[in-house]
Amino acid sequence: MALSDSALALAPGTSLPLLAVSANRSGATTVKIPLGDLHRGAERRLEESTWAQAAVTVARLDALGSGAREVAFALAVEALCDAAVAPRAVVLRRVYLLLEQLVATTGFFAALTDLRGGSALAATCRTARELTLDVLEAWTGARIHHDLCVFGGLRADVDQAWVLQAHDLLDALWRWARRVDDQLLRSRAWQGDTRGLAVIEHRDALALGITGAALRASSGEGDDPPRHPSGDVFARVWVRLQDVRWHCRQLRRTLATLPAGPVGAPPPGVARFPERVTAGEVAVNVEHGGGTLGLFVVSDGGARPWRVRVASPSVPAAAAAVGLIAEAPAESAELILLSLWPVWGEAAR
Amino acid sequence: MSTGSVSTGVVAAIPRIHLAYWQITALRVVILLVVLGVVGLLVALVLGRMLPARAGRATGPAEVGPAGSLQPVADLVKALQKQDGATQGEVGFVLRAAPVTALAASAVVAALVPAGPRAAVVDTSAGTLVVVAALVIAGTAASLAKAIQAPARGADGALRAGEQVLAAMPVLLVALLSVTAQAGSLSLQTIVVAQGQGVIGGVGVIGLPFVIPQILGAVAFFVAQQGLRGRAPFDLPHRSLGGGAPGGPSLTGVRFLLLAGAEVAAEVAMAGVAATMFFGGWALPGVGVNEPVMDVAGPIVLAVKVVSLLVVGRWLEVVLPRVSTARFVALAQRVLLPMAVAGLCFTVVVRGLW
Repeated sequence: MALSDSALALAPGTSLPLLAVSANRSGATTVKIPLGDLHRGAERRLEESTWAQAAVTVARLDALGSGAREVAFALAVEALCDAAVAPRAVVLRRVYLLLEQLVATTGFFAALTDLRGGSALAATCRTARELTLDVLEAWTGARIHHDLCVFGGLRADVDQAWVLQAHDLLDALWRWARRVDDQLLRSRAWQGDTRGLAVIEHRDALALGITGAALRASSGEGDDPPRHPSGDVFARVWVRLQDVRWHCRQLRRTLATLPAGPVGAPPPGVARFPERVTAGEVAVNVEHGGGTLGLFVVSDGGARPWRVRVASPSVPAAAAAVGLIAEAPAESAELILLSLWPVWGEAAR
Repeated sequence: MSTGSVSTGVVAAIPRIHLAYWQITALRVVILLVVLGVVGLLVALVLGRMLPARAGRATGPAEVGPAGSLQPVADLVKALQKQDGATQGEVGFVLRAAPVTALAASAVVAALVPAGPRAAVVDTSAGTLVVVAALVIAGTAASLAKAIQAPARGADGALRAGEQVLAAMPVLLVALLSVTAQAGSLSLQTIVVAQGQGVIGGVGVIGLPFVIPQILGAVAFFVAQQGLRGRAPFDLPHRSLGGGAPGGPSLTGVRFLLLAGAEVAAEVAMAGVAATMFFGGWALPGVGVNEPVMDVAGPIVLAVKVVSLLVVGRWLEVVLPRVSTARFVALAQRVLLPMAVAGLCFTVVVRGLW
């Protein structure tokens, strides 16, 4: 099916896949995600890079989830070398991942409210994301790709003033989440449009390999982590909003247990990753905004990774979107796709 | 000296100029186009750019002219430099014709809406019917064209915009007919005078703005016209998450600007009709409709009412969550239309009894 033949062609931004939706005269709908369009040979490139270069490249598969891939790669290399990580860095890496998830979730709501909420609410979502990025920038000096992880630790530490700034951010995010809840999720129009739409049963979600918020949206009830029983678009969005509160609580707890000590920053002039890595293979899982990211790294003891494979949570999410959109009204296509929030650069690598 | 006599004196001081009918008509058309152009530019600047920018916590236009006030002129200059890459073929014809159609229909509405006791470009006894037709044409043309060329929407968006138009049309018609039933006339000037001379409970201080007795019709009209024009919160046919596939139908350059202008014109036309039919038009509370001062004050009063309605409309567009087409159609058929019909029945019964 050529895109020009499509009744509806959606290209919802750089981080979401291009979708082609067409309906023939008998009313049957076909949905296609032209996966090949964005293939960039990223994994092959990783195998042609040095370990230090690969640590940077893997983060840049997509702006979303950049920190998670960075942490996953550092964990993988450290596991291969059986290296210890500074205790303070271990906790701060968790802080880093939680902040990154908050960036992803606020970004998700910015896109969602831009599509379905009022522009005033969308502005609060963008502001919430920018505030979170401010805190990350105050720590790492960057807003999108932070290059924070080094072998055995982190290249930058935080001070007490930064911790206070982070607490202020959490207060602001808590208030913002309540506003989104009141103005969008509790509105009758939103509930009417999204309840019962594009349901993914729990067993189907497991079979497809869906992880993260999209899986928990059909996993019964609970709040640690947040769960919802219905598996529809409403549940997926609802779980993501509860995730903001959950991540805020986790971040407060984590910051309260921050140990003293060095973060393992390398001295100036020393490479951030070793020139050679012990032979072996390792698989690492890390949570990011889209779900559970898997990274499989094989080393032959040389100067470059022998194999790097990224198991992106976005691939099953996009696969599920194809079937769901085909069965739903055309005007819900973007909403369904967005509710699954595939990180496209990471999936079409 | 009363204000009225000042006005009379000023008018009397102007030397009488006798113009032929075609000259008067040409003058009226020129004044109408100039007024529409200036108002359109102001609305496009303030409501189209500054207000949404503030709502989105952005700076808004700030580069061209004092406080960015010449941004629409910069837009025009930029558009003039663009090549005409408008889509050809049947879809292209519809796209190219839509802005002109919407602008012409809006101009018809502007010509019919009276701005003072003697300031109606055209005052016809069938004004309301023409206004309804023109409003529907203006709103439909602007909405469909925008839906057709919306990124990533194509035929799907246009079909849904059409659904909204079909659902909103009868609501507009019944709501405005209810007003004419109350005023006992289809003439817009008569409707304004009826509101200015009306009384509430025997007290005629503010006249009788029809929004009070016609509250059902007024609400139905306001909601339905937003849906007909495909404006938020009923703008999903025009919305998408990002850029569409290349090669979709589109307008470029001046044609694109014309479409934006047509959208604003349709918006102003709707607000003008709402102000006239429900909020007393050019009539000023506390001042008789026959006072000479209304020749001067009338256009200002009408402009204030129109701008107020535009601001309220834009504010609601900014704060309300968006509603799907199916939900709007259901709302129009199950709530708005029955509301408007109930208002019409109530009016007919009350007028029959009294």
